[in-house]
Amino acid sequence: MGALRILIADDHDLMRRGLKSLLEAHPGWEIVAEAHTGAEAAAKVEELKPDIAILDITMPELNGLEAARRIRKISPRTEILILSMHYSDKLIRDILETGVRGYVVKSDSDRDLVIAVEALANHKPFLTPQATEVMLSGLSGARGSLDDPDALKERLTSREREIVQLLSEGKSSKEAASVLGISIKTAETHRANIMRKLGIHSVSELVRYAVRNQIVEA
Amino acid sequence: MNLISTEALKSELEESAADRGRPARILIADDHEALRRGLKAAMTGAGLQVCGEAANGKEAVEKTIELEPDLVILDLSMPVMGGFDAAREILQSAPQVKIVVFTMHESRQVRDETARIGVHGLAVKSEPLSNLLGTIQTVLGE
Repeated sequence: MGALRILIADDHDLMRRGLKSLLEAHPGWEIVAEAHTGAEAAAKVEELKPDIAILDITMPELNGLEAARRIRKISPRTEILILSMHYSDKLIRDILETGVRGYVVKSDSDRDLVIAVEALANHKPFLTPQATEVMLSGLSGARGSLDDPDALKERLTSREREIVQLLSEGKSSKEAASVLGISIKTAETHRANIMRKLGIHSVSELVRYAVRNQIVEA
Repeated sequence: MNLISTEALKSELEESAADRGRPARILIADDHEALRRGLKAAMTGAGLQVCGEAANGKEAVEKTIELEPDLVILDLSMPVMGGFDAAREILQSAPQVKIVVFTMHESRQVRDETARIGVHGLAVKSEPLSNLLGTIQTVLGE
């Protein structure tokens, strides 16, 4: 059996170095690529088709969750492990919905990271006990409850979520269009659709939505 | 933005090591093992010597007293004892040791508190590594 090929995506250089050192200490595991944005991670996964992609949730331009959605399409055999700084029920719901089967909170990574990678290498899920609890409560119908106001709003498409992230990072429609390789007119149409779907009227409200839904970090 | 390259900082750190007759000894205190590993590799790569690691503030205080490092890199949010409390104790029991707070989020509150306590330097995790190395170099040269 060949080496387990892993990609690490985190915008923090020190975290990438540390994760690399932690994982490379395991015999038979090889870090084949590193990325510091979600878009770079997706592009490298498409090129290298690693066995496992470890994605930080908060990365510029394209966050970990959106990168995971893209990777699921372009390389369905690549198992994805999401790392997040903080635990969040909403985030776990989004992760599970994306079809990702591995989730580790960074503060538990010393304990959980190697176990999670081992599980995913065998195409088995690794979820923290909290994530399992959220999954089970989702199965029993508690998902999308009334205490989650965003659950009632019309769903955004993947491209719309990318636009939300870029606008919340302070980019203009023109800059967002340039990052995504689309026309300004298309970016502005997406922007108008996002505002309509979410029922909001300003960029500051959009930023609040993005922070609340962990599309960007506060 | 810090425009000084990591290579230039490395050479300055090597010069101050030559002046001191030995590399500066650094204690790393952060509750994330992956980040400690990353920091250790970066410090060693810059010609500094990592003499110890701590996973919480209490351990940071104990290891500072035991190992007498030249400088402690101190995370703020750690279990058992946070970075601010650890900084206060270190400044009291080992006042010769320099402290650089290394935090995820920079805010006015964090800047004010580090200044009030008398911490020697502050660097933010999301900024390039050269900022941390530059801060360490400045603090060690004081």
